[in-house]
Amino acid sequence: MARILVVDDAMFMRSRLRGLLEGAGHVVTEAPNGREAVERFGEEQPDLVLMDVTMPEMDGLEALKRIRAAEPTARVIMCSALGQQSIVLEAIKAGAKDFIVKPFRPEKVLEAVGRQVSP
Amino acid sequence: MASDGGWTLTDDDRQIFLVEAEEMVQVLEEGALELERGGYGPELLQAMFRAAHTLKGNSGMIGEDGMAGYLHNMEALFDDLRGERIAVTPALVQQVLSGIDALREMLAQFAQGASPSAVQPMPREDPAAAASPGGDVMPAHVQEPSAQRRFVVTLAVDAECAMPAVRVFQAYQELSRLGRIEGADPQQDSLSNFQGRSATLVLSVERADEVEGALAGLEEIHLESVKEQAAAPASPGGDGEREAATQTVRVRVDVLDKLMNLVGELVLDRTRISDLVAGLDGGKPHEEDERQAELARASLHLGRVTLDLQETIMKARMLPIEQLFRRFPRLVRDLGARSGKHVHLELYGQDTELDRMIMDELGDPLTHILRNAVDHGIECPELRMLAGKPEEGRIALRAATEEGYVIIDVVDDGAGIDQEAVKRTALARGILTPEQAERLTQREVEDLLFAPGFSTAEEVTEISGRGVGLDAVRASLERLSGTIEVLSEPGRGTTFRLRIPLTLAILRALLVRTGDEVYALPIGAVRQIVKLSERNLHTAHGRPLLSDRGSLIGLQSLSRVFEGPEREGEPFAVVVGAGDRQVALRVGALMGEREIVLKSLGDFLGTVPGLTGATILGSGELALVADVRYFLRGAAAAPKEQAT
Repeated sequence: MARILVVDDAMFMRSRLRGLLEGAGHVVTEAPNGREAVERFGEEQPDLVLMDVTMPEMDGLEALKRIRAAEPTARVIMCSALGQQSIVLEAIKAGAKDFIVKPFRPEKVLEAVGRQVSP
Repeated sequence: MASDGGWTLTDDDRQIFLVEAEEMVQVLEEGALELERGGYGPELLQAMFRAAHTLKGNSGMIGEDGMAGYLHNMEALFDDLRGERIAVTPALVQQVLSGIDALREMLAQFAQGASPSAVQPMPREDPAAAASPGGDVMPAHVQEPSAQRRFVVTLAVDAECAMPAVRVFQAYQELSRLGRIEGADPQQDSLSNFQGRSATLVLSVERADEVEGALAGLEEIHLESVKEQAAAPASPGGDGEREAATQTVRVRVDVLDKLMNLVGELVLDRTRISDLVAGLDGGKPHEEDERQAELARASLHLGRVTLDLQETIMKARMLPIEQLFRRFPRLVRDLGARSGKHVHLELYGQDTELDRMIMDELGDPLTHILRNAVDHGIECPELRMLAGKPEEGRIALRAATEEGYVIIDVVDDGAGIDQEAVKRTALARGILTPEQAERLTQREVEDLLFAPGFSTAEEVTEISGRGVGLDAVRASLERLSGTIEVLSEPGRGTTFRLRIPLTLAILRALLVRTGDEVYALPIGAVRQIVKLSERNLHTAHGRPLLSDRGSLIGLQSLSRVFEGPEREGEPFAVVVGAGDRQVALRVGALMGEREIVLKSLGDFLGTVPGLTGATILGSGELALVADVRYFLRGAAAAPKEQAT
């Protein structure tokens, strides 16, 4: 069991990920944008963050940088779309642990999550 | 002669440029068609970008700045597509396709035009020069000796990985914890646009066995190989290419043709020598016996070597059929677009090899059959919807090898052949009488398509054209000793099946002897071999017949070609056939099967009906190659398959 913060501006995407992760025995909280993600991370200190790239108010890359600045051991997996390779590369350089690409395949998500935290 | 800085563009350089340019244009065209079908991903766009980029570089190199500028714009377009700054639209695909046409036009002009350097081509003294494009020689790097061991590490990214740059970066990250990365391709700081599937780096490290473990935690990327770097400097990524280059060399077709002709001459001289040797028999003093025998042995050996040489050169003329097929997807797409149909062509078996000469001859017949399939086979989208088929019609072009033949199938998923419409047309054109029409089998009706003057089109369309029908297609295949058949399933589609000998020059044949003569029967035509006895020999209306499992087959003597005597006592019959006709040929002895090199009869006898050529056997003996169609002419159609 791990505590996972799911950050995405699309409610549909958050709810899909929540269902999948809860099904695998994790505890899930959500944030709809980067700014809220940074706040929630400070409050909750989750074991892992799944971070969307393109979001209003504050994008995923910026949120990642702020989270890592506040907590250098923070584990973040970037959730990206095709064509965002250079941004993801930036994110990895900024300390993101891994990435997954939309459209997600459930087993890929669970594999990536499983490499960072134990169920 | 060499390099004082100013390069002369030799004929060979131009040739290499053109061949490569055609490859690039092909990538662009296939890519454009793929884009149109919506099947695009970063890899495809990257490949198209790279093709435009490479061709731009090459064009600049030969001083064709107009073309280079043109390609620069095309490259920018793919970059925008790749960066998702613009989207794929039908108009954009059309723009790309028109661009490709313009490129082809420019290349054609370049191929014909005399540029200053081509007016005085550099004499080719060094054949090796043909294999190495001018200016491609890299200065050797001088590398500093290093105390640590260096390994060339090759990484492979899984095909489905969407972001190879990130995986490669992660791998570099992990590996740099083990040791120092001396160099990498792609380089770390140029990764952001990287879409390749492999990466190579030179790693200075103490132990190579830790490399694999370092990558274990990464998805979608794995270790391909770790090789200790040899003392000689090697640029990363270059190894594989260099290896491949030593295995093949581009050879000009006219060089091959010339070699071929020279070998032909050699064969003739060799035959003359062997005749002379034979003529020396008798009337010679005894002391010359030993020298005579020696000469005979040398002559025999010369024969074998010549034959081997000829066959080897023949094989060098074989090319993958992809060379022929690759122009068709665009053709089919354009034909479909013009008749308001969506048609997709799928290619299979593109590595099947075929003699280049035959390939040249197949272009027109295949084009015609594909036109036919688009025009008459595939229904319009509305009809397809009504029939519950996908709106997009499919045509598959398949090649495969079978016993010395190449089989090419053109399969469409259209409406199939309307038997009644075919009969009506044949009646109207006077190809068929009403009584005949009554008795036709499905096969026979379909065969009418190939009758001279037949066309199923209600009206002659712009696309299928006028004047050339399927009869012309059949005729051109017969010139190649090939056959064409059509099979159709109403509502499901039509298949045209072409059978062409792998090469006109080498074929597999069954050798048989009748009287003093040796005949070669092309193995593709041989159906079975039967031992004759009183039980299976019959006569009807004074003609000999072979009975085989309840059916009767006409029996002829092979020596009929020369109006030789009927040889009653010969114990075997070889049943040969093409399509649904067959005939049994009576022979005296079977000499087995082998590959033979077909020589034109003109060299020996002039044209003889019933023979397609001759061949010289390893023994020096002449074998006549029988034209099976000659014997089949007038032979009855085989009994219906169900008859047994």
